[in-house]
Amino acid sequence: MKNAQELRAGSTVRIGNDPFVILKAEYNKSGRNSAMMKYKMKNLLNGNISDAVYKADDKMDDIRLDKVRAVYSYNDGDFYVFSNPETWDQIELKDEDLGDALNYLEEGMELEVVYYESTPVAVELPNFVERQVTYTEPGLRGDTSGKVMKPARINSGYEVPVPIFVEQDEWIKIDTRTNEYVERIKR
Amino acid sequence: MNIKTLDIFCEIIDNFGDIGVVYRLAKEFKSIYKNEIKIRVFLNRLDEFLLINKKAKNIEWQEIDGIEYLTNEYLAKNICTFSPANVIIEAFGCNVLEEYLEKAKDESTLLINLEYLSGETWIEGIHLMESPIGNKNLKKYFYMPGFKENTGGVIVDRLFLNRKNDVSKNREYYLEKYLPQFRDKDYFIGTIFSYEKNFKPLLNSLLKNNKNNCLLILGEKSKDSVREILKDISIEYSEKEIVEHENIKIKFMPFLEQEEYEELINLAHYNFVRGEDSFVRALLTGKPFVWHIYLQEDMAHMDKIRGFVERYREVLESLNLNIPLDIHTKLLKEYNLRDSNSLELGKENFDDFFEEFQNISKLSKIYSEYIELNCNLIDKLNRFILKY
Repeated sequence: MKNAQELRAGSTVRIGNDPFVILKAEYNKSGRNSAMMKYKMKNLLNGNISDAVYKADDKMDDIRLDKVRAVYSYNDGDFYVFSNPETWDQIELKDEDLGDALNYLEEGMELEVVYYESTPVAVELPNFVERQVTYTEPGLRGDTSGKVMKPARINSGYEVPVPIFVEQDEWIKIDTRTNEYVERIKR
Repeated sequence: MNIKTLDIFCEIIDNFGDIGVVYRLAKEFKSIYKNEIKIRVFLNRLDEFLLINKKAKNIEWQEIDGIEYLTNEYLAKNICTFSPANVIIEAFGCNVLEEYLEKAKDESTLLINLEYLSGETWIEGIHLMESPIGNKNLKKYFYMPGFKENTGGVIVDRLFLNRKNDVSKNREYYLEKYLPQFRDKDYFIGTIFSYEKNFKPLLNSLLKNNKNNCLLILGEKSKDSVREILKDISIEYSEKEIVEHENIKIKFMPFLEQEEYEELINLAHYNFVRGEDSFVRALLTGKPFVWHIYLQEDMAHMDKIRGFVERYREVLESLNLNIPLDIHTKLLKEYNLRDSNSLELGKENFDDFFEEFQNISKLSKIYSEYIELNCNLIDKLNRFILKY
């Protein structure tokens, strides 16, 4: 069992008798409200995609499906194409299968492809990725509290809230489970 | 679906807010359905309930005005004889006994997670969203109270509205009931029910307003805060009597039941309130209010203050009233801009609030009408259940 908060795009869970893959996971918390996870998820039996919400500490029955290490190669217009570095087999997935992973996908990126009954159904990202900030408003050098945030765009176009002292072109570490900034890194 | 039985679970953490909301919810469903449905309220402890309802006793099971109140311990001891209700409300994400939930999966239909009130926009995307539990009979939904039509609203209970109307029509009677000492002059009455706060700036503003001020202090935290000021300005007093400080008379109020508190805030001209339940009551009085929000780590409470201020602004600005909003909204933000509840002086200044009192009164009245008309939680929740 895992807490709902630990699940992210690519995680697979059983709800009742049905297996689901999480496509998007969004964390919400404020004030006294329970921390909540909002998911977009796909039923692996009938292919239906639905939205759902859970308390962050709800217990979820995570299931282990077959996973294969893969490297992202290219998008041919219809499919995102991955290759298995051991067999060089090509694996094709649709954008709807990738969900939140699209925020961080870039050529040559290593990840895991999740299979359900011999069919690739999702990808699971590494917990952390390092990305360069391609655009952000100039920051305030004096503020190092990390409490005041601003949006920073990475190469996929996705925006991550970062502390105000982070500058354009700097590299940052991001937690893909929560889509949260972790720290600045030197490259 | 029709409600046949309704079980409401509440986990009291501290203070009176959670039990206040749940007690109100139960009473309102009772007033709608009378004896057509059975209502049970499950509580993790009774201390706060005993204070807000004088009929309550310190026992595991009791029935008051047709509603059953039970402790979680009683439920745990008697779970094998319990049948879960067909509609279950778990208030504020509280934990419900596992054995009860297992039974509910076979016997119940709807489980509603009623969350805390928030003005933030993200709640709109979650309100009435299903939280699948993989059960054919029982479905779980999140219900998000808020200040817009597309959220769960706030508890606008008929009992409160009746009381408001009654106080307005029979002001003399209620003055005699609560403030017989203040009947002779036209007093400018304010209530204070807050967390720890330095009210010196408030007293300084009242000293300048050329009115006969009457300040009613409720709750131990407010009383402690006012005691400190009185000590600071070297006023000797007895709390059994009215304390006089120039044009201000201060009365330390005894603990009031929920219904009595509601009468008092409708009698007052303005109200300082705290938490969630008394804040909503103050909104519904249609009178100027100052909200002391429940403090959160990392200043998370400011997100809620900003959320409410934005929703308040949206409604009032859309009406083109030509009345400035900034004085009230600035005060609400500054009053709550703190990372701990203490007697330290904050940024807030009440001079503008009282100078603009007439305008803020108009805004408060209009906003209360909007809330009453568009954001009635009981109606919305009841409709959701009936349509389900």
